[in-house]
Amino acid sequence: MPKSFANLIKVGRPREARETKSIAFVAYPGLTLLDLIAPMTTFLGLTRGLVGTSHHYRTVVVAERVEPIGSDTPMALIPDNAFEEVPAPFALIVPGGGVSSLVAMGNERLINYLRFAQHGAEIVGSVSTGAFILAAASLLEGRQATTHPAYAELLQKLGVNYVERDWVEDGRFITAAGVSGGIDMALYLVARLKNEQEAKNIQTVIEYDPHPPFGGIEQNGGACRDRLATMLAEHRADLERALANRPDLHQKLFD
Amino acid sequence: MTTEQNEKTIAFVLYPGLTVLDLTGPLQVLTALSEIAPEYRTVVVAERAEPTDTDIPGEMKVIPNNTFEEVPHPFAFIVPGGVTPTLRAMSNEAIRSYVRSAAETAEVVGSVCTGALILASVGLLEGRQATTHWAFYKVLEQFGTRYVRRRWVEDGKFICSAGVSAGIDMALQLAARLTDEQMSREVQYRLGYDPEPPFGGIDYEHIGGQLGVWRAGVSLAAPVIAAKPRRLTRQGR
Repeated sequence: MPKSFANLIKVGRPREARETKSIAFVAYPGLTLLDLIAPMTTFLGLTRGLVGTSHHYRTVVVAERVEPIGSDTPMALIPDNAFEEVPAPFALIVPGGGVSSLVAMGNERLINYLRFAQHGAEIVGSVSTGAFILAAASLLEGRQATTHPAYAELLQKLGVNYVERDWVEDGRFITAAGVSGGIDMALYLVARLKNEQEAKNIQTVIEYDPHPPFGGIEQNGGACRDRLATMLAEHRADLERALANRPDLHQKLFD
Repeated sequence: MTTEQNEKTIAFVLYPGLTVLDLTGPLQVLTALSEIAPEYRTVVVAERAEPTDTDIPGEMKVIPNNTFEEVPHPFAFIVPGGVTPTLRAMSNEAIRSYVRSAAETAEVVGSVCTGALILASVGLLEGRQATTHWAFYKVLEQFGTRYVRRRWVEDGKFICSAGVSAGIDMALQLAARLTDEQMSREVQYRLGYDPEPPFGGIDYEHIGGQLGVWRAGVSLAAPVIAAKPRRLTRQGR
């Protein structure tokens, strides 16, 4: 009797149910804070229901070291874990950061972490210019992906098939165009990993019923190219320094 | 005091356990605005400038860059919301006194989500129309505020948004008010804010299940939640 009871408990609690899958957000200096916080909050639909915490998934912020990291706002953040503490995440998501993302392409430890951690990851994603960091880890070559529209042509130079969409899925790679694309992509992932009702619930809890006061973004190819050219010219020296150890990237982007 | 004369400071009020997206949405929007309209400057203020927990489970912390004392008279300030920690903040002396005194001189006073309850709890929204998170509207009404279910509501110098992500829309509206529509559009473009929710919008007429139970519970508890902050206000604290 005790034996069969123990068996019953075993059957009732399969091994998988006790393993927490980590959704790791990769932080680096100068990142766009909202690109990280918005999808992470949306993932509360996976990690924390209204009736208690789920043990199936958790979100973590990982970085080179557990110490304050400046963002592109006045608010800094301290990550949960260092890279080596989360070697095998279930999902990896890289937020954007504009020029700081381009600089991060030359960050060897960050790129090495992505190259290593992506092996076991079932989902590898980015928000906005985070796609450049995935590309620098050679993860997007020949794939369909998206990024901030101003950076579209630059991303193509790295051998990525840019698609102008809110978010783009290609195999286990999923990339979002901007901050709202990050939320939309996270809602889609909550539905895929749990169910559509949970996705709608978290959407309702965070009141994601968007009404931008002046409507959506008007895409304008010419203006995008001008902005990018200006931005690259302004930061040319920083980027040269940052990518000194990656002549391959430097050549593709700037020659 | 860090505020310079010709610089308009927009302060975001941080407190432990807050919904960090409430703060980060408008912070990101208005910081992007400050890059193209340099007369504005954003700061994150808290009782103490030290690493602070948020609503996100785990060890992640955020760090404000100024204390309340260092930014006593911001041009504008925005109070984000949260769940239990916000209800607790409604009776927190340091937060109450900062919000009350900063509101005397600020030209714009904003809130996101249940941050409106903090404004209301010190009497700032009495007789005004405002909005908050849909699950907490009964608490707002306890303070003599007329709840309006809109994405954001402006009344005089007060601007309040609905829950969490509504703070982004409100901040774009505020950006236009502080500068002009073109600048606000530029900020929206820079952030890449072009939402396409995969399952459509929210059907507010049919919030049921666990979420409906949640709202019903909060509504029932509203008089109890409001009792202590109302008593503090009556005592002039």
